[in-house]
This record gives sequence, C-alpha cells and structure tokens, in this order.
Amino acid sequence: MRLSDCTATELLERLKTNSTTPKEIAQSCIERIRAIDPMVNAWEYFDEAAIEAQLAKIGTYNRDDYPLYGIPVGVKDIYNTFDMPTQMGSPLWSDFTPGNDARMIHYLRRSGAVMLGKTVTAEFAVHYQDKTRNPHDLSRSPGTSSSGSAVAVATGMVPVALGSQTAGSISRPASYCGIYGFKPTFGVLPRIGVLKTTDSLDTLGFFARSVSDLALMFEASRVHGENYEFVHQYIDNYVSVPDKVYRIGIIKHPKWDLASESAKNAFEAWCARLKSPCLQVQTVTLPQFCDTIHATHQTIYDKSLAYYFKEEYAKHTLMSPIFYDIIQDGLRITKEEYQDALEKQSRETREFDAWMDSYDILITLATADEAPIGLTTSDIPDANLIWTYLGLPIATLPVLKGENHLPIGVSAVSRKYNDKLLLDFLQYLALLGILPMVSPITPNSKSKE
Amino acid sequence: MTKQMIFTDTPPDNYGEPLYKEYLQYCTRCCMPSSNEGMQFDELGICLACRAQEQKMRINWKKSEEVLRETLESYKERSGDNYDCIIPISGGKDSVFQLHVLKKVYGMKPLAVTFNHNWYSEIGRYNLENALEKLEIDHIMFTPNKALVKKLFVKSFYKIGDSCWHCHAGVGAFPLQIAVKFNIPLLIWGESVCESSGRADFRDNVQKFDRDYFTKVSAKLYPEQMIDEEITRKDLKPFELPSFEDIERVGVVGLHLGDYLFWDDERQMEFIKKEYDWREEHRPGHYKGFKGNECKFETLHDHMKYVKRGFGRGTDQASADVRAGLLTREEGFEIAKKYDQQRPAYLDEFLDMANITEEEYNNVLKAMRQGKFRECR
Repeated sequence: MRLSDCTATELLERLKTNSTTPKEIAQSCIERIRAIDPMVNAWEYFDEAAIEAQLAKIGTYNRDDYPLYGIPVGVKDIYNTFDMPTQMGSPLWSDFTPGNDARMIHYLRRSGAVMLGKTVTAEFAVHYQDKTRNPHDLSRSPGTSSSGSAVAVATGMVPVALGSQTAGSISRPASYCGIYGFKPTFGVLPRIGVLKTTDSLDTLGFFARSVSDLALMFEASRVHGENYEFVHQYIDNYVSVPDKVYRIGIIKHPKWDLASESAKNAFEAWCARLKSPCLQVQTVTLPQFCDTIHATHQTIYDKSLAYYFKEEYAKHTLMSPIFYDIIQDGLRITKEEYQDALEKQSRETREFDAWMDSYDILITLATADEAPIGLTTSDIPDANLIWTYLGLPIATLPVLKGENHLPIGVSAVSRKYNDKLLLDFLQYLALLGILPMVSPITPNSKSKE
Repeated sequence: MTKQMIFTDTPPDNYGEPLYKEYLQYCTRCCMPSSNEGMQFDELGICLACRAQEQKMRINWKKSEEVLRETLESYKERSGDNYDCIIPISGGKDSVFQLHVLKKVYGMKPLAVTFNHNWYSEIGRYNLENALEKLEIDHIMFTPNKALVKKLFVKSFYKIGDSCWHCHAGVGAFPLQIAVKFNIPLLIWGESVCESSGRADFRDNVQKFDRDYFTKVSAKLYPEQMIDEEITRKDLKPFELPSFEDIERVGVVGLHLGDYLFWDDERQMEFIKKEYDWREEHRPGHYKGFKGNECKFETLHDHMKYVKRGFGRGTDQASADVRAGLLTREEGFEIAKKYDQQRPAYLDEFLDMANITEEEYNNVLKAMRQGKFRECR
C-alpha cells in the first residue's frame, strides 16, 4: 500500500514500527498533490519550504510524546497559520499574512502534526467557489464551503484536513466526496484565529477516511481540562460503556421530501443493516419546531454576514453576486428580528436537548442526493443546518451510493457534548463492518470534458 | 459521564438567562452587561470587546510584529549600559509571558518592577519568584506596610466600592517612579487594552498609555484624595505619580505587547506552564484557574464588582469563552451565575478589618449601583 493510501492511524502504526518517517510521508503527499491537484484544484497555498521547516522541527521531538507525530494535515484557508497566507477564498484578502496560528492549528502542531498547506474554501466560508472539482466526477461540485479539504482527503493528498461548518460546510463536502466528516459539539474546538461568519453557528471540524482518524483528530484538536467546564464534565470525564445498547432514532427531517428517490432507497437499505443486540432502532419524528429552523437559521446567518462583512461589502466589486445578495438580505433584517432569532435558537437548542433524552443517536441522510452537476450549482436543501443550529455533534458517514454510483453520506447526530459517545457508536459500527475505511480515489481526467 | 441534561442546576425557564436582565442591557453576543465601565454597544447591541476580537482576524500581525521589533531595537540601541526597558509584573500569566518574550525572543535586558499589594497568595509568590529565577531577571519590588494597606483597603471600599485602590494606584505609579529614577524610558505591559476590557478597540485604540492611565482606568482617585486623619500625605508618597516634567525629561513611553502580537492568553498560559512550571489554582468566583491568582483578596475584589455592577469574574471569563466559540452565550450566563455569586475567600477577614457585617458590606456596594440597576435590591 502506498503511504498516500494510508489513514492517519495506519501512518502512525508505520511510524511506530520505524517502517516510515515523517519526511517520507510528507513526500508521498507532495507527490500525490503534484499528480492529482491539477485535476481537482484542492489547494490554495502549498509551500514545500514551510513543510521542510516543520519536518525539521518535529525531527527534534520524541515520537512517543506526540499523538499526531508526522501526520500531514490540510488546513481550510480560513484558519490562521503563521507560516502561510490566509486568504479566506476572497481576492480581497489575497496574500494576506496574519502572522499567527489559530489555536486549533497550535494544538495540532503541538501534537506533532505537519500543516501541509491551505485548502480551497468557498468565499468567506459561505458558498461561492468555482475551482475545486469533485474527484468522483470532475463536472460536479465537491460541496462547499470546505471544498478543498474534502477533496484533498478523498484523493489521498492528505489523510486528514480541517473544515468548518455554519450550515453544512463539512457534512455536505464529506457526503459528496465519499469521506468521513465530523463537526463536534459547538464549544469543544476553539475558534480563536479562525474567520468568523456567525457567532452562534460557526463550528470547526475535520475530514478523514476512517473512524479512528476522527477520534485521533478530535482528541488532538479539542480543549481539555477544568478551565472548560462543560467539556471537562462531559467529555474529559466520559467513560465508554462496554456492550452499550445504542438507542437510535431514524428520522425523516423537514426537507426529506426533497431528497432523491435513489438516495432515500439507499438510506433505507443501509438502515436495514443496523441489526445487532446493541442497536435499538426506531423511526422517530422530530419535534415540530424543527420545521422552522431553516428560516431562523437564515435570519441569523444573513444578518451576521451583513454585520461582519461590512467593509468587504463596501468594496463589492470583488465580491461574488451570491455573497452580495446575502448581505443585502441581511441588511434588511432588524436588530430586533436578529435578537429574536438568537433567542429562538437558544430556546430550541434547550428544548431539543430535552427531547434527545430518549435517544443516543439520530440517523438521517446527509444530503438530498449525489453532488450536483456544476461547480457553482446550489444544493438541494437538506437537514445539515438543523444540527449546526442546535450545536450538536454530527458525523457524516460515507456509506451510500446514488443512482450514478456517486457517494452520498449518512448523518449520525448525538446529543450536545456526547461527542465521545458518538465516536464510540461509529467504532462499534466499524467493528460490525457497517462502516468502511475509505480508499483514496484517483480522478479520471476524462470526466472533466 | 454521558451528557444527560444541560440545565442541571437552573430551572429550565431561567436557563441561559442573565441574572439582571430587567435592569441591565447585555451584549447581543457575549455576557457583558451595560454596567461594565465604558461599555459601548453598537447598532446590533454588540460590545467593543467583541468587536475587537473580530478585528484581530483582519490585522496583519506579521507587520505589527515588525514594528514591535524595530521599536525594541531602537530602545536597545539607545539604552547603552542601562536596562532596555521596565516590565511591570505581578507574576501572573501575562507578566511571565512578557518576560519570556522580551528576554528570550527579543533579547532585551529588562528590569522587572513589582508593586506588592502586600496580599500575595502562596501561589502568586511562587509564580513571581520562580519566573524571575528561571528567566534570570533583575527585579525591584516595593511593599507598603501592612497597617497602611489595611487602612487604605477599608477606605477604598467606601470611596470607590473596590478595596484595591492601593494596588491600582501603586501598580500605576511605582513603575513610573522607577522609570524616572533609573532613567529607563520604555515600559512594557502585556495584554492590550482592546483585548477584553471593552474600553477600546484595535481600530481606535484611544486609551494609549499616558501618565494617568491607571488612575483613569482603575484607581479613580489621586493619592491626595485618600488623605484623612489616619492617612497622611507622607504615607501616600509611594502612590504618587512622577511629575509631567520628569516623565517628559526621561521620555517615558508605554506599550502593550498585545497591540503588536496576536494575543491568545490561554495558549500563552499553557506555554509558560510547560516551559517555566507556572502554576494555576482554581478559586471561588473564578471559572478559570489562571487569572487573578497573585492576590489572596482577588476574589473579594471580583465579588465587590459583582455586587456593585451585577457581574464578576465569572462573567468576564465566560464572555471570553463565548467570543472564542467555547461556550454558547446561554452557557456563558449559566457559568456566570454559578461563579459570580460564590462567596469570596477572605470575606470574613475583610469584614473584620472594616468592622462591618456582611449585610452592611452588601449595602455599601449596592448604594453605588448606577442607573436602573440602583432599583435592584
């Protein structure tokens, strides 16, 4: 197996047995990028000298003290990095050098990871991007906004990469690219040094090709300790329960009817595989207030974008029409409407948490269908923003195929701060053989034509 | 532990609500109330500290760092055989990080200066001495006598609703006195005023350092305003600011590292813990274990603020976490409720010192409430 085919967990095993080195791993990623990226355009910034400098630094480390020792990471280009520009998908911020590392980047470097480069993001992590292509079909969208990170992982240019989610920016690219995505509970990963779009929604997360890589990344990038009360109480002190019976709710969310028949059929067939004494499955209906979450989310989102991007809006010649329109919509929303929407989000988060007392995991379709044709096409509405709005941990699982044999993900959602329970559940499914380890895909250049 | 219910301690109807929502306006984004001094809400009801945090994402810190480096180099060149700068320190996380940055990163020869409030906690003293020793820094400390400190402590409580005038005034005056006495023009602090105070932002940092900075921001009163039959002008000499002429003669300037370097205090705290064995301690009223540990009366100071202004250190710390995306605003209010109301350590010692009951203590502070908050009893 080539190094670029390995997951982060497999690479760490190889490093432990001295059968490879961080330099060889980085080199294999670089070669893969040279071979693949011209077809998919996943990378915004890539600098071999910066990689060399990091390798020299970790060369002084004691391998056993660093849980991500030598693991290359792709970084969505909204995370500040001291050794690379942060351009946020906008020509307005071309070549901007913030000169510092976001806290999460620091955590990863502290764990021995190597920041391989910056991956393409949609403009300001919102929607518009027109260069990154879906490796399964180059004529299709890879999903936004964490487009480059998802493609880089799907193609084996890097084993893991960082994303962010304000609506569905991790879940959708993961679903369309056929890889794992994980957006932990709001509040578990620090946002310091990362572009802000919406206070109460922006959540960080990552992509991987195996369940165990999700767990690795989660531990390395989250906050720990008594200075973070809820995280300490529910995550640091979490104890896995052997032979736990998972109470699973299969749900049809408010946008379910918009999903394609092939997606729904594939989903139902996969759910039928959830058979084990430890899986207690039932079909459940979401609380009625979930029907209006899309509208409330839009009020919060549009107003926040109008607020945070006032200066960019003033120079709108370098702004996409989609972004410009969102800001115009946001400007029409009053302060009172915005505050009411925030209050509603808070109340519904609390109500949903109480409702979820009966379930450990909710399962549903991650996207309505396979990736749409065209790089700037709008997605069919799905349920992703509901989970983001409610601050819940959500994993996207690469388990379905649509009518064109392209990937579609399944969402597994848990209760706030039950991130480790969700990861335990995924490990259990992996043990049952229901969750695969994903092999990197090599795009076929012909499909571009 | 598996998550069961968010609202474990609070009745569901009040979950995530601020304590004084009928009396105070709160920032739309964080948990800071209008009673925070100098609070400025914008058109969306967002406070200045929140705005400043987002400005940090649009600052080219690489360029600011170059400005800092050039500034420090110029002072190094002109200092000759003298110290290159003064670093006022307490031994807290910021001051130890300052010492590290200036000595190890920029190769400065600093003189550390400490105004000792004379209430050092055990851990505070350890952190101060440990840092000075490990970083090999020359140090001057001034300690006013305890009897005077006690008198000022009580007087300050009645005058400004905060028993720490002597500390605020001393921390402002003593480094300036040393700057003048030792002819060291450059004073360097750590965290930017814009970081979390809500008094300035990075675009319009109106509160640049000047001689009276600490009087305006924290001490409120000049030494002569503390004179009475028990406290003489002579007693207050250590708290006096040098004259404007002396300040000008030496060319005293002050800067905050946080105006030039991207400030991430928790990350910095983790760094100094690892590199210098700096220690934290969890105390009543404090949600985080790494702030305000130098003084044994710090939690009393925070509690006085809570009674007087309706928010304490729990609110400050929770708001910082809300801005960092580490708490929802509602979780922040829950944290604030839990910690702000905790009875401070050493309250009884203070009540004995002031010879008052706890009820009287509360009444003195409540009488200082401003605006609509005065109606809240």
